[in-house]
Amino acid sequence: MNQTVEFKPDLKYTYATGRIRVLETKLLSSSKVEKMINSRSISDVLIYLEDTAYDDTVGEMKDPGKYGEFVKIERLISFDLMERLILDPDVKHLFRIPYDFHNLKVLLKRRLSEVATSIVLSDFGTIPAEVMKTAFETDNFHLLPEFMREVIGQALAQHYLKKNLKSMEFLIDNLEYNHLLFLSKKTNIPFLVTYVKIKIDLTNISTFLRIKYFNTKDNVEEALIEGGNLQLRFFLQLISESPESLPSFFSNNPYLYLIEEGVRKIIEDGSFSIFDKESENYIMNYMKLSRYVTFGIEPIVAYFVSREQDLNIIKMILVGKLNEIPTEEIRQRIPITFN
Amino acid sequence: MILDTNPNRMELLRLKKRRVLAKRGHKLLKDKQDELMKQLLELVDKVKELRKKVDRELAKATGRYLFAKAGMGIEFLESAMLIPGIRIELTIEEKSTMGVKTPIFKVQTEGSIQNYGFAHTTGELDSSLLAIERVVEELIHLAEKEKKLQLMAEEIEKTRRRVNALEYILIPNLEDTIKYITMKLSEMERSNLTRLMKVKDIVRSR
Repeated sequence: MNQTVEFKPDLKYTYATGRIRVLETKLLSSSKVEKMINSRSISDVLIYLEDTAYDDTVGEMKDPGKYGEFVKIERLISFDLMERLILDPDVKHLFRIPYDFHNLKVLLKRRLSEVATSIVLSDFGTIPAEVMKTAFETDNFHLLPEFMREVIGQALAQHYLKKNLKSMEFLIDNLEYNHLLFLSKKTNIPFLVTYVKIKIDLTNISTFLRIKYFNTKDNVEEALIEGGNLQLRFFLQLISESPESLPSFFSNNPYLYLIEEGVRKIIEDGSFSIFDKESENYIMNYMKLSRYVTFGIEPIVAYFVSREQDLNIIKMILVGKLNEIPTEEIRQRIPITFN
Repeated sequence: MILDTNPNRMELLRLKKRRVLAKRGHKLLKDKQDELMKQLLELVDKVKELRKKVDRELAKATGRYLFAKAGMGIEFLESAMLIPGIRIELTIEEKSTMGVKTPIFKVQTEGSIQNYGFAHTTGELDSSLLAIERVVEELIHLAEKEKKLQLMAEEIEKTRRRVNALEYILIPNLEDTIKYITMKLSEMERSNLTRLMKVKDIVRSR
C-alpha cells in the first residue's frame, strides 16, 4: 500500500468515532475467518459468527442457503448506522448513489429491450425505488433529480447512436463515477477523494484486463472511466502489449502487486479470482489507514466498507460450504478483513 | 413347432423359399448387430470421456459462478443478467447409421455472453460465464452423442430380438414344417403306391 492521504481531525465526529472504535472490535478478524473456512459444516460457520457484529441476524437465519436475506438485513443495519453517525449528506450519497444508478440501468434496460422481464429495484439508493419506477412508467422525469435526468438524456442518446446496450452501460458507469468523484471532492475530505480514485483505477485495471484477456470487441476508450490516478492514455498505450509483460508497466505505481498476482493467475487458468481478491485487499489496506485518525469521518467510512467486505466473506464461505467446495479453493478467494 | 399349413408340394416350395430368405435375413441381421455393437462400444468410450470432461468443466464453471455471485452485490448481478446478449440457435438434422436415424445438433451462436458494463461486475463473472458458454456447446455435443447411443442401444436390442426370433423360432419352425411336409408327402406317396399295388393285386386275382 503506497497510498498517502492527509487527515484533518474533525471534532464533529468525536462521539461517532468512539462508537465506531467499539463496533470495529466486532468485525470479523482474520483468525475468525480462518476458523470459518476450516469449519466442517454450515452450522459451525454460523457458530463462529455468534460473537460478531452479525450475531443477531445470524441467529434469525433459518436457511443458510438464503444468505441474500441476511445480507439485505445487515446492509440495512449499515445504512441505518451511517444515517445516524454521518452528518455530511454528500458522504451518505457517495455510498447510496451506486444503487440509484443500478435502478436507472435496470429501468432503462427494461424500457429499451424487447424482452419482457421482471425487475428487482434496490431500496438503498438516494431516490426511492418507487419514485424511479413511476418516473419511467409515466415518462415524468421531473420526479428525478437534475443529475439523473442528465444521465438519462445522455444514456438514451448513446443508445440510439450506437444501438448497443453495453455501450450505454459503459457511459452510465462513466457518469456514475464522475458523479461520485464530484461528490467526494465536494466533501473536501481527501480520504474520500482518494477512495473514489482508487475505485476508478481498480475498475479500469479490471476492465482493461478483461477486454484484453477475453478479447472482447469492446472499445477500450469507451469502457474505461475517467478521473482516476491512472490516465486513460496509459491504458491505451498498453493495448498491444502481451498479458505477460503488463506487470513491468506498473512497476512505478501502487498497483504492481495486484497486477503481478492477478495476471499470473489469469494466464495460468483464466481465473480473475486472485485479481478480484487483491483488489478488495487493496481497498481494505487503504481503509486501515483510518486507524490513524483520532476524530473524523474516515473511521465511519472504513467501518461501512469493512462491513460490506465482511458480508462478502461470509457469503463466499457459505457458498463454498453449501456446495462442498474444497477448503483450499475457498481460502484462496477470501480477501483480508479490517481486524 | 410345426406351422399351421397344408402339407402339399406348393406349400413345401413356399416354405423352402421362406427358409432361404429367413437364413439370409438372419445373416444380415447378425452382421448388423455385430457392426452396431462395434460402433456402440466405440461410442461408449467417447461418450464416457466427453461426459467426464463436461462434468469436470461444468463443476469448475459453476464453482466460479457461485463465487463470482457471492463476491458481487446481488442487485448488480441481476442487472448484469437482465438482458441476454447471446442467442443460441439449435438446428437438428438426421443421419442414418446402419438404418438407425440419429440426430445431429448444429449450434449457431450470435452475440456475446458478456452483455453488461464492467464497473459493477467482476472478471471472475466473465470467466465463469465464458466457461459456461463453452460447456453449453460441449453439453449439446454430449446430448447428441448420448441420444445416438440410446437409439443405437434400442436398435441393437430390436435387432437382437429379430435375430433370436429368426434363429430360435422362425427358422426351426420352418425346418420342422418342411420336414413334416416332406414326411407327409412321402407318406402319401407310399400310401398311394401301396393302394395301387393292392388295386393291381385285386385286378390280377379276378
